[in-house]
Amino acid sequence: MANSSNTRIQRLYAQNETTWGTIPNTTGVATLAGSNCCRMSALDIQLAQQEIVRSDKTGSLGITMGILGRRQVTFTTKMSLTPNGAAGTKPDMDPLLTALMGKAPTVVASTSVTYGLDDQSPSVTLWDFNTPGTMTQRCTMGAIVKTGKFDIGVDEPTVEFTGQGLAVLDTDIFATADTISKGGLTAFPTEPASPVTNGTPPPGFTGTITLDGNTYTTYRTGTITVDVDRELPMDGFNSFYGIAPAAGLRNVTTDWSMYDDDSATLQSLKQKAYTGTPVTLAFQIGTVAGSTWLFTLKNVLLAKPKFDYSGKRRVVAFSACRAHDTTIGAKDAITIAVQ
Amino acid sequence: MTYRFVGFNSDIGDSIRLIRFGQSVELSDEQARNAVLGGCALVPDEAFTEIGFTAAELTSFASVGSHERASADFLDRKKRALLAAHDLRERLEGGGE
Repeated sequence: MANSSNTRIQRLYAQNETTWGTIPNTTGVATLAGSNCCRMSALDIQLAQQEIVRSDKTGSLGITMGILGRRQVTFTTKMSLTPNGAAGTKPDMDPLLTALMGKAPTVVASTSVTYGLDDQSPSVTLWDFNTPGTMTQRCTMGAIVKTGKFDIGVDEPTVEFTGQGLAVLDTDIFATADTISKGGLTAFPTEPASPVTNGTPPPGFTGTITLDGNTYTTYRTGTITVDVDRELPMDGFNSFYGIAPAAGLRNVTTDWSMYDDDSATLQSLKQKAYTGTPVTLAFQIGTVAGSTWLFTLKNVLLAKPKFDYSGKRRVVAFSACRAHDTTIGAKDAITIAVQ
Repeated sequence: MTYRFVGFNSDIGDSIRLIRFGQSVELSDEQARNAVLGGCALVPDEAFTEIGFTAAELTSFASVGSHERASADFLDRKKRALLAAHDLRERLEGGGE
């Protein structure tokens, strides 16, 4: 009898690539290890290949069987916002954060791990292992992250990454896969026997919210979205796959709602929204050293506040407030520190 | 070899769960390498003992969440433990033993 797989028994392993599209390996053997494991609540890797339908008329209304077009890979993965728990140690999601932000973080031993922005497009290999091991096991290599969306203020803070991959390799197709899809491997690896995962997400509603230098306990929930507009262009000649990563403008925005009041600090914030005066926003999630996240957004132009009367207490919401670098070269519209 | 855990919590495979600061764990070299490179904050037992945590401290502050109310002295020793874990990770990342 055939086996089936429980969707909860799925594991993600993420590895930084040193060469785009090449699965980390030593002479064709994947260097995948239990140390690359990262817990997630959702991982979805999709391969699509359109049928190119011949447009010529046949004298019938039947569609002529087409030929296969380019192969496009997309992925989405969502996970709780889990720090390592030991200050100065990278979180398990480090490869994805590095790929989002554009460079490896700055590690200060025993203190912090800080992710800043850069113009590079680091790539990752994402592995999707399932139980039993006889099920189709998959990976996508040459994966670039396009967006990272952080949900804060909620019970379980989360982050969702989306992006594009170069190709999908799996245990079913390995023998017939082409060179690009094999990503440099001579065999598909088995899942590491001893996955290592670390940390616990902080309660998403704890921490300190500092808007323009003033702390607020009236903050409710919000999101921070980092859209780095990366893609693998799908129009390269003589290629069924995307070509090397291209990146557009970074767009860092935040949305949040908070209870309205007549405090001087909130009035000042509203005034800055009206006058277009940029402000710095700092969202610290968690209170325990080593297990807190600090998102710092600079030069934020606040959207005009919107008032919400749907609940018992009036709410003011700020939507799509965009952060900007402080100088052309600073690349500091956002920093993400785990500390 | 015996290691001491100085992180928040970590799982190594299906059978090892580290949840207490200072928790002792026996690991082979290969297990330790995998765990440390995977972000598990471990310090060799000898180095941990040298730092000088007392048994009472390790009982009182077994949960990292409780470290907010720990003494400056304890936090200073914790910092040394984290630095030792960092050094071990750097050594292994560099291909060392």
